[in-house]
Amino acid sequence: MRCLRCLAMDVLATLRSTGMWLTACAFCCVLMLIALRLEVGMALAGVDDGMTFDVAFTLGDYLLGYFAGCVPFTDGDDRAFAPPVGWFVFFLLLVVGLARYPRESLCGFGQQVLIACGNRWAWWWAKCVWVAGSVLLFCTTALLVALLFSLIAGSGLSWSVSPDMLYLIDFPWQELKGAPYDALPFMGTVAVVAISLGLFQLCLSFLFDAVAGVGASAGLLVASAFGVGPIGFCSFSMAARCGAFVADGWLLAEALAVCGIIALASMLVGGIEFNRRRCFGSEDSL
Amino acid sequence: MSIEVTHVTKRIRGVTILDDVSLSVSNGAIVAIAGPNGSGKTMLMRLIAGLITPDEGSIVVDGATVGIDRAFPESMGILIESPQFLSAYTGRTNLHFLASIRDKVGGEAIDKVLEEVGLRKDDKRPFRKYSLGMKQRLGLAAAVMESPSVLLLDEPSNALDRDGVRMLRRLILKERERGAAVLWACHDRELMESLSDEVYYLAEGRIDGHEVFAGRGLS
Repeated sequence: MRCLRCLAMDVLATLRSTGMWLTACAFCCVLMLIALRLEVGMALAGVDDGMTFDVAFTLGDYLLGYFAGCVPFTDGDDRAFAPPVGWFVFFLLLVVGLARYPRESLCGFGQQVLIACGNRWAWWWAKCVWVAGSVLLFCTTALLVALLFSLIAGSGLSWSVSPDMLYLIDFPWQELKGAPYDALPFMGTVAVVAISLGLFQLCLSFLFDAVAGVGASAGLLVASAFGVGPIGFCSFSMAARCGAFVADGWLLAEALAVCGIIALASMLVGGIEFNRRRCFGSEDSL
Repeated sequence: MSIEVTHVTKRIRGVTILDDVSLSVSNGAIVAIAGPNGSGKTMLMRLIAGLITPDEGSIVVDGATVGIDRAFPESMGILIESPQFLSAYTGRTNLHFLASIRDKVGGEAIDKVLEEVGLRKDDKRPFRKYSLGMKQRLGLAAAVMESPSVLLLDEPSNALDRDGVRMLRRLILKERERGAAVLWACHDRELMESLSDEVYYLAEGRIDGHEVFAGRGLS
């Protein structure tokens, strides 16, 4: 019960800052989707006469505007590595937006809440739930912007991605899985990856500090974009590497298992560190 | 004894902040810690509050060892450093939020304590618009609103005007009459000695002296 009350305090304490970050996220999402429309428009303008493309701009199509991602960097590839700008911006906004509050609250009102709560684990779980909830708000914001664009395009609430869309946005230069392409389970995986990343950062911010948490998260995003090693779990949020779209992509169960382990380990390690920590607040900087 | 600090030593990154400190505060007593800036007063308060754990020694509050039996003392009011609240909400709303965690007191008690510290319950200004003195008064209200058995006040007279200091004096004496153990630090020597039953002097993290003013605080 006290955990829930702590969570309520976290929500109240961050209403304004979370609102600002969500607004920034919505603004960036709008820009990304405008860029997607321009990219598709330019591609359509350049196709040979006689070729026809059918792009409905569904909700699923628009989600690729953020989460298309890229193929891993391969040395000696004849095509230049294209960094996934939209994907990176979304996740960077998320990690920066969630970085400061949990740790810094210990120097302010959060300290009073911690004492009133009387239990460090309850306080810690509240922070984990706050992170997960905030991540879901970021994902919902991106989804709502895409939904708005699809409603404007008159294509409604379809999660299916047009095969022609994948071609026009120069999706991955690899073998596609056969149609249909359903973006719904993929979007669920994006949310799970984002929550895992948020919890991973929360853990690091208590092991070290908020800046280290953001730095590690940004490094992880770059590593995920360039390659697919064991530390590149954020690549599970790229459609270009997802089995729902490409032939040799990762499987949903695989992504959920890896992200679940990372999230669980982050919560436990962070919680244990927070509980055994000998200093809180301003004394840390001594 | 309500607070029993026994041979507590605290080092942070190789620097000894507190060195073999022992003191005790009984129920219904006002005990002051005096000392220059950086002598370890605030650190001692934070240790008793459970925000920091000692490297050596033990701290027992209301019969429970802090950090072992309980993470934080169960019944404790605290004002350490500058009071921090949610800036977008009124003082009254902030107290309601804090009180909702333990669910010990309701709106009536909160309104009463606001009145006691000289704040208006119908003040619609958010906390960020409060003056320093008002913030300090709200911090005091938060510390005493649940009638804790232990009260830790670090420089409670900071930013208070003359009326505020009179209010503080009344509040501390009332808390003692109620039976609370009050441990406080104050740079105003006259105020400290006029209220306290005992004073521990801290210098460079060590207890440098101890005076007892029997009965003076009741006058």
